[in-house]
Amino acid sequence: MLKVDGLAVSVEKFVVAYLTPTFVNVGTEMEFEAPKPFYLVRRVSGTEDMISDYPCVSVHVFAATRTAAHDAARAMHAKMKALTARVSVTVEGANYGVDYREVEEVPIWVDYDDKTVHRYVGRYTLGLRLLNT
Amino acid sequence: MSAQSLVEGVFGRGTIELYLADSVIVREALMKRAVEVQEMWIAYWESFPHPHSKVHMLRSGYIERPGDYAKSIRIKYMEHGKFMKARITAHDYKAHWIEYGSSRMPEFAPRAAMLSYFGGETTISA
Repeated sequence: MLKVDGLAVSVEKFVVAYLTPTFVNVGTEMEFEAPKPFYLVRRVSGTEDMISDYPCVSVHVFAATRTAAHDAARAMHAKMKALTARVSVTVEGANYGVDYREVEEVPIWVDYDDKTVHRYVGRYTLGLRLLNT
Repeated sequence: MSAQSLVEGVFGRGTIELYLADSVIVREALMKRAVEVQEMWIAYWESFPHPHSKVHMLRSGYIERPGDYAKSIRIKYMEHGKFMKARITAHDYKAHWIEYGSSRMPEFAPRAAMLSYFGGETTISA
């Protein structure tokens, strides 16, 4: 019997796996003095129904200068906009895709309370199917 | 043809939306929903523990008090012709750090949580 109340793939792992072939230094944790540019992926909110998970995910782009952060964020944004239902992403040996991707917030500069780094943040909502369990 | 599509066919969808937007009932419902969002935003924020919250003075001389952020979440109503919009904003100076995180604070993202729950749209600034 089909059950549709399982869990979707982790959106953080999914987005990290999607960005990693294009960018170096992508992760869900940023160590102190991590190499820059660094792409930090975090789920911040989202809802779920019986069919899909709708996570809202932040992608923080850190760099040493504002210009470098801006350019890196634009490249990341272009990559996120290329995430369509036709794209397949391999996470832990299995292939996953999205039903849709919405841009919630185009990357903007947001103060990080640290004078040594500059940060841009973009937010995206994805539609990820719950897995049959 | 359903009654709704018949009415739409006679008056046009735009005309109906204008009448609805001008309705006292719709405006009252919008104001009620805005207060609901404001209250939930505050409750969401206050549900987190704030162990470092205390009265202290910033270098600028501003005295910060526990609860400043919650008190700064305010509603503004805006008229767009016959339409009315409600904007709920956190005005506290820490608002963007609370929303997006900082070197010393996690990304609480209360605004994103409200948008996920209630829907609506956001400007791209905190």
